[in-house]
Amino acid sequence: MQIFKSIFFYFIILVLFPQITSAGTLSCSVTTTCPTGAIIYRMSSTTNAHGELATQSNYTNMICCTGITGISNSCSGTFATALKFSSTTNAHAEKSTFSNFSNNACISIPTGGSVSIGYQASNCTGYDTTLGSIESDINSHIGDSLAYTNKICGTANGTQSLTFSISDNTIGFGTLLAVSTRYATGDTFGASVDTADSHTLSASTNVSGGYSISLNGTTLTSAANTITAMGGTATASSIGSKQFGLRIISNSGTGIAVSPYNTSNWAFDTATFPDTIVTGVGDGSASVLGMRYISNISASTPDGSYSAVLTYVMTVNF
Amino acid sequence: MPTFKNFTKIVSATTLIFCFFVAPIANAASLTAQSDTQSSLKISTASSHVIAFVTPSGASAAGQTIILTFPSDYNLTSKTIGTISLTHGASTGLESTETLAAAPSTTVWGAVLSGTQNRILTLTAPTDGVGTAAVAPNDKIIITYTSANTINPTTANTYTVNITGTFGDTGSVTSNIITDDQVVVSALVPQSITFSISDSTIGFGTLLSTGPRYATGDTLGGGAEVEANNIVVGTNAANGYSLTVNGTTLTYGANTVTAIGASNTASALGTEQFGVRATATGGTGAVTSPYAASGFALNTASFPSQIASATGATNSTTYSMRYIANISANTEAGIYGSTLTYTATPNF
Repeated sequence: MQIFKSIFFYFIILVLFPQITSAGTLSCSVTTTCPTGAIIYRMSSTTNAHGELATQSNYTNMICCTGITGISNSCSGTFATALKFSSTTNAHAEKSTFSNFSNNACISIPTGGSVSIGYQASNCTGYDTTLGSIESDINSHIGDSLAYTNKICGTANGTQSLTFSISDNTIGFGTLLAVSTRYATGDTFGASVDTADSHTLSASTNVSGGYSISLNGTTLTSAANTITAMGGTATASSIGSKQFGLRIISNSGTGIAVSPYNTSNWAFDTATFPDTIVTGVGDGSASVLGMRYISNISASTPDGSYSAVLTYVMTVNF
Repeated sequence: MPTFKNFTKIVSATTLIFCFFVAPIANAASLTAQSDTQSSLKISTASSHVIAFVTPSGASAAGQTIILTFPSDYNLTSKTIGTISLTHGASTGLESTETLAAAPSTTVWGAVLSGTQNRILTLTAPTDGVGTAAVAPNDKIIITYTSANTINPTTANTYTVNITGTFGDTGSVTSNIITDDQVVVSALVPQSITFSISDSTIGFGTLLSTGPRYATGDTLGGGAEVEANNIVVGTNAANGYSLTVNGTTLTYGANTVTAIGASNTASALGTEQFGVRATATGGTGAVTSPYAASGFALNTASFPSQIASATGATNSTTYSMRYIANISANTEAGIYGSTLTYTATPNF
């Protein structure tokens, strides 16, 4: 008999272990206040307790969940049921997998995310957090995470929030001359001094891996004629030489330009296009990047109307 | 027998535990490190997608599915499996490339597009659960759509691609589709030409039948060939320029010193000759025959006569102009003069 018990134990371990990798930022605890996050349900005590829905206010022990933007106790949209109560208050509870009670305590996150509740013995390994514990499957008393062996476990991933915008899709240098440097402006007329952004990029995400912005496209081109891209090394302006380049200024937020675009000199590394030009962390705050463009030509730069179409793409980092 | 009965109970209990506890845990796993790298975020534009994520559970059981669902407004009509790829691995996600086919086998993954405008992709694990290599727990999976028949939504908004399936993990990737992800940069390079003559008054001084005279900038002339003046021409005209000379030979009243003509000719003492030649430095301009050789010419018959040209846009070329005059013993005395007009014409 002992050998079969051992086989049984190791079988359980082997089956369970591969499943215990999960991820998320959901965090729940039993508190008496819940200034941020969402109250999922309330309890009369931390053990041997009756429960009530979050909409009631008879009990001070509340299961407060945080860590996911937009988290709530709604039972619609993207949600999972933590417990079912026999009544809205002073209630016994049952696991969500049973159907004897109809007063549901739910945890909900914005559309696009995922949330799930499970019950397992002893711990919530494989889940983000422990909401509490339940004495039995149905018609049960409940308690905090230490009260009973059967734990109420939760995992959630929030919706990826990603914003990206370009302030101006049409900029220009105006007329290029071999005797002076020109800087692109939003009115397309160009300027002789580098004092203002040609346009800006705005970006933000709440994804923990942050984001990157890549640049793709061509240098200034007129039919078969081109103005030389300044390449992968930040280079100073050189009047009389064919140059087309870019530099980036972090106006606000935590997004930053990457080399070679992050100095007072200029670059345009077409050899590595699509080239990462900006990276940012997933702090949810908006970053505004000032984009500045320079061009010089030589006396022999063929005449014509030149243009460059630049594509900016923002991606959550892998 | 009691032992066998206990074993049966244990197996039954294990099965029940698996059904009630293990299976829900598998369903609970959330994907991590999701991303969707697109080639374009512009509305209504064809864009590739590189959808990457880490699967905590893996997908190594026969028939397990990974399902990608694009939200409404993405248009993948006419999308084919041949333009989709599946790779995975422990590190980069590119270690193993799986073959996709309409139905799974021991060597390939099944791949089926379905739903409105092909927005749903169902990948089914090989019948042996392996294929090229089993998708292990914590593998990175990369599913790539080429831009062919993969059209972004028509409305700027945030869109979420959901990842589900019986492999047990769930998650999503979000993209922000915007009205225009491009910046058009314009610039005008105007037509330009530079043209200058260093000295507009040159002279031979006194001509003698006993030796050639070469014009100089100080008008006194000399017995050795020197640059009398220079002409600088440059342009950004795509087809370059032409430099011509027009005017007359050396003239005094009705008398003239004979222009050398259209053939590059060496100096001949005692013979009336008036000619010019040039050398070029810088840029891509070149002296035109018959003015390019060591002899001299002045082809008045074809005036205005081209003396130099460039075939494309060029930095400035400096033409060093040399003039020669010889006279005979009976050349009429007098003060001779010649007005030569140089014209540079860009060929835009």
